[in-house]
Amino acid sequence: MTNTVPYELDVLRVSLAAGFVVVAGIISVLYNLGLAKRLAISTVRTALQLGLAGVALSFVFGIEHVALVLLLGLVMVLLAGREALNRQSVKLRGTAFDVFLAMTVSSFTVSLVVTGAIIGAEPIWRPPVFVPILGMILGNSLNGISLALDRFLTGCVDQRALIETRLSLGATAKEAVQPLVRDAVRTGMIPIINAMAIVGIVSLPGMMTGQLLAGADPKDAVMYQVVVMYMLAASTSFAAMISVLMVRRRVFTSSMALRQDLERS
Amino acid sequence: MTGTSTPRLELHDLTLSVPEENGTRTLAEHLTLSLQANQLVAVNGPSGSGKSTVLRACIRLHEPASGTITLDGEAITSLQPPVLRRRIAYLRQFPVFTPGTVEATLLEPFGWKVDGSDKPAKQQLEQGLESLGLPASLLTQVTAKLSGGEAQRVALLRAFLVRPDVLLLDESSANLDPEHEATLVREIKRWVDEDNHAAMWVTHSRGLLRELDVDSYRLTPQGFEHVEDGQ
Repeated sequence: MTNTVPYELDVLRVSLAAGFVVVAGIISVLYNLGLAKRLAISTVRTALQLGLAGVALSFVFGIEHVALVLLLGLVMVLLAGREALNRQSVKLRGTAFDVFLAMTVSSFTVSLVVTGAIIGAEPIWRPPVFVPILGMILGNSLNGISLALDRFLTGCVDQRALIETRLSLGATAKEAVQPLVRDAVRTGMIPIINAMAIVGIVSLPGMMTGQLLAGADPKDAVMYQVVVMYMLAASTSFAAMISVLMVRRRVFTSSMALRQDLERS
Repeated sequence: MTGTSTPRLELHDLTLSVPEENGTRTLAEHLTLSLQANQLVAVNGPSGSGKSTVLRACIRLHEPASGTITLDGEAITSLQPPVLRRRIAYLRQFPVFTPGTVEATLLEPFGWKVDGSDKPAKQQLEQGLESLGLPASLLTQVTAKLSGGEAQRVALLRAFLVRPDVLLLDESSANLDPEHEATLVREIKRWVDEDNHAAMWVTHSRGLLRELDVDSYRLTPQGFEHVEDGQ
């Protein structure tokens, strides 16, 4: 691959950027925020994770094999799913399966439609197109799912009396938690809707900025960014909706009662 | 329709247990009790003895470890839970409502799949409130602003409106002053006397037990004990 970046960054220049984190660390120490250690670990993690991602991407881009792209995609889904699960304050058996399924279905479907039908990449799984698209979608789906699921499950715990009241008046399980489902999916979608409201006005998204820095025509960068925002809105809503609907059936027993062991961990 | 000899609600050799960290804990066993048409029975017992769990088991919000519960001779497990819960209404100790007005709360159960009947008319709601000693103007009030006693009576009216066969009351007069408790007792007794209805009232209030003046049972870990008059 040819390098078309106008201002190439070497390790020394990237290390200079770490100076910003040092400033943040000094502020943490001065004000006794207790974040210095976590900040240091996160700084190292960022460099290591992105470095590894770069190596993996170079490898996958170089070989261009569908099985490898699929494998990388599944690993990304697993990692994103695990992160979404870690953010839950109510642990419920079986939700891991639901989260992975919601992530896989929503992210792969939208990624394939975008790369194939909208961008027109050939083949549809072409690594330099498909993998970054999938990555962006997973990052947003992770947020959408974790927010929506947490809202739904903590709602089930906190509103047990109300849910049981609806059940005891003849509501089905679906009807008893319908307001919670609505609220949870809405919560999962709020970040992307907020981002859509300010994009281009208050913020220039990372992808667009990256393209501009890489020397792309602003018109092309904008077109791509519009597609990206739309696909993120779709995939986040799919992911939040599918995960909440899948988990919904797990919070009830076979006799349409709210499970007794449902509680905050 | 129910024959005279078939109890409306019957608990047979029920064992109730609750989950604990290391397994389960048995609350009570050998629970057997019959509730005939037009009968109101009172159940008392100390806190934590499982009184509420008995009521919850009757509508399958709690699954008993063993034993059977029948409604008009039919095992409750053979009924779809929403259908069962329309036939047996359960009134919890502290009523909760979906945020909104009293009118919306009273009509909420009529928007669900299980219900094929028309929503009650506004006039019917107003009459219902007045029969329980509440003003008709309460319909437009938001439920969050109801006092404990008002909330309990609104919850009772909501239960009446879905036209159950059996009513289960869980400390339902705990928030009421003596005057409103007397109104509640009168209305529930009147309801029990109509249309082969039946009710079970769980309470630990001796005053209420005297006021009810009905068959009374004490819940013990070994089963129900009939309480003789004056005990």
